Amino acid sequence: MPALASRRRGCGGVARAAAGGSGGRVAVLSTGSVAQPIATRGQRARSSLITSVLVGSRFIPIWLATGLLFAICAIIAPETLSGLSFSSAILPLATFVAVPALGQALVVMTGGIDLSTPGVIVLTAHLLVGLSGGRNDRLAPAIFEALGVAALVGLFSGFLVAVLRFNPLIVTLAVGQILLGRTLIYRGTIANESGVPPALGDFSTKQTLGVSDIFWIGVLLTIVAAFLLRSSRIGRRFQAVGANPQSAWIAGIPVVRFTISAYLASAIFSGAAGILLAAFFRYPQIDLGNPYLLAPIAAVVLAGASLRGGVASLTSTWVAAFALTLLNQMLQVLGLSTALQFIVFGAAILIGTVISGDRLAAILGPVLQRPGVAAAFADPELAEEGERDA
Amino acid sequence: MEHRKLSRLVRRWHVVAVSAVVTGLVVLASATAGSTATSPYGAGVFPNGKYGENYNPKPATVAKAIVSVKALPSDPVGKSIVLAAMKRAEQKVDLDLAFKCWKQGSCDTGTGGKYVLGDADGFCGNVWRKVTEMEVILQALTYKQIGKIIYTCANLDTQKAISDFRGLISQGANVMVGYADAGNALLPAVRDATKRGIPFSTYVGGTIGTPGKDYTTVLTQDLCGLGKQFAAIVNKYAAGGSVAFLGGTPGNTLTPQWQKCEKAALAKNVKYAGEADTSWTREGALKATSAFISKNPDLKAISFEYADGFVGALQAYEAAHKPPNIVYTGSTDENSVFCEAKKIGNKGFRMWSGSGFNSQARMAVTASMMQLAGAKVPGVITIQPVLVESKYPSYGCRPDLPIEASPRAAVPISLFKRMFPG
Repeated sequence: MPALASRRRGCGGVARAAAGGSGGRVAVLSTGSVAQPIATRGQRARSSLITSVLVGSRFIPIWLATGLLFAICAIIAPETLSGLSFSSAILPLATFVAVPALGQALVVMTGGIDLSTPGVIVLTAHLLVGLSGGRNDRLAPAIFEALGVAALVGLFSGFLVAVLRFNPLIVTLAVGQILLGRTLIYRGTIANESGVPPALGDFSTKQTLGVSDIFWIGVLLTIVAAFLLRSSRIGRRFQAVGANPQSAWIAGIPVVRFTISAYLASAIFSGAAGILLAAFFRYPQIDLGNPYLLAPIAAVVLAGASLRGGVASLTSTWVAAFALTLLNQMLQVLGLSTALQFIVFGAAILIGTVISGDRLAAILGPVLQRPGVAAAFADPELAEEGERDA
Repeated sequence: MEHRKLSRLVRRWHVVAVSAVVTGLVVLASATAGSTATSPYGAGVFPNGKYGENYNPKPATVAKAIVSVKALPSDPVGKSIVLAAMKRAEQKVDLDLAFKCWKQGSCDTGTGGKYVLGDADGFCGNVWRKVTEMEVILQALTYKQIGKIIYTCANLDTQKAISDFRGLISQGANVMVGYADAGNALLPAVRDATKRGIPFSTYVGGTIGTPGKDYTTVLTQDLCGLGKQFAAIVNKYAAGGSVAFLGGTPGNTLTPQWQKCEKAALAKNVKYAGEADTSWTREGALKATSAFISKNPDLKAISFEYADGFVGALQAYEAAHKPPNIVYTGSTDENSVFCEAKKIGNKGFRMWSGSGFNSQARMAVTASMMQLAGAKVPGVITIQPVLVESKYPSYGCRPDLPIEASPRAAVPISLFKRMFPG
């Protein structure tokens, strides 16, 4: 670790989160050196506005695409949006993709990836069944214990990735396999009935405002996570780590700790998804987590995050998970054969990736930074003030 | 006087000769009994003792395993093999030894028998597979000639399945059974076993290669007949409505066989709502059923071969807060669907199902052993589809069994409780 005092604030660079819009945006971090002139207010104002546009543009496409998908659904498969299909199937099923996708987004922000999601989901679901013994009075402790095990898994993965610097793809894939094997063994020892406590099963069928309570749990988790990421000090530091780990480290942010935290959070979110899935299906099976290996990653990428690391929006991630589920259900309602469903679904993800926010930001970035364009963003008052300062 | 003595002597010898001939005929008739004997299971069934087997199980044993004696194969040799297997299922065996074998995956039976039974399973991750493994063990323990049992599980890994199969041969397996999940990729190893004179019988999982030539036999069911039975029920109870078909993994060879035949047999007043793959998962069934019920308000029937997967379809109705006033026709009989139906408690839901066919593994063991005893085992042994209705309100739910187990499995309850404690 260099002995430079530049790690301290005020000597070189400051990480500042931009305000407003979807959760999880961060200003460009500049390390700077003592020899360079401090940016003027005008320059900072222009930079802030350009950054807002640039960062915001990453996440707009998925919202527009979802709106378009809604419109297409309403025209060609209106039954998809009927109460029966929409509130009882699409919204809860979207939640099962969205919740692990929230955790995945945090990991992706650090430049990593988490492929242990199916393993965590299936282990947590079975632990819930086994630890509760199907009894309502054991439900709360079983949930905490199951999430605790998920957290330990996340800590383990995070340690291997952040401290020992192992490849996250290999680590999490291996961890997922170990968890699957462990669940197979554990499954053979739990009760004949192998179901969740009745209270949890009943909860899964309850609705509020005509929509499954599972959906509302997912929305709550998304709002809380997005708020923490955007507005809390820890969240902003996390964003700084995601945007530029080296600069964050120089600025004094414990990058290793935050990276481990990302995997910890991802595992907890996956565990929460496992509990919700167990509630919904009541008798978890060994293949419970299989559909959630790639779907959450697809949601994160379609939402505008880059797999190389950087910024991500948790609310946009939720929207992307919803869009994927809606598309899937629309194809089923249309009665397309499975082969055609695969083709259409794959093509949609491909198109979504081609016009993703990440790519859009990569195109817009150089354009916005051209002097003529940058000047167009200038606030005349601030620019004049900046010139007086200079 | 002499003449009278001679006549008496002739008459006596006459009686003796006639008695001897009659006795001989009776003995001959007994020896060939079965070909034309009064077997309760019809003509052509082997006589007891042939190939070391007894072919007269209780009808209740047969009905429990395959729903009804009407489900027995139509050909006499196949029928005899199934009957022999069911007769052995009635035998009491050492349950402690069976549990030890099941837990360890391999064991010495203690009989000193010269045969090593290899059980090559393609997957072991669900209760059906674990119960079937136990059925193989229980059946093997009825054969004193089997001195060792070895079980392998490939966990759906094709490469592992092949190496497991070859590994069993190198460990000395000289009689084999298995579920051919790996499909035709397993054929070279299977043919190798056949060349070495090792009988291999497979069950449930579908036909690979040429049964009867590449390996001993495949135990299967008449899937087209199953589809026609589905259609008969749907035509009777869902007239005026529509029927949806759910299937398994995309591209599987089992689903299209019954779906094709059911669709062709549907009455004109039953609308075909379409088909959807579910990957044989509850989630897949839930998604597909949600789509069907939102698009087809007149949906009156669903056909799906996999009962446990159909639980997802019922959960789609629950999630939609809509009573499942439909007819379900299925093939397997996992406890989960009965208990879910009981839990929902809707009188308008009617269901028909068949057998989980764990017992086919027993039949496979017996088929392989009978080949070693000299029997000419047919390449395909087909169980006829017979469906029974499970009725409201209990629908036959068995709380004492694991939720995914089939109530038709021939595993003692005490052993079930040890296999799946709770």
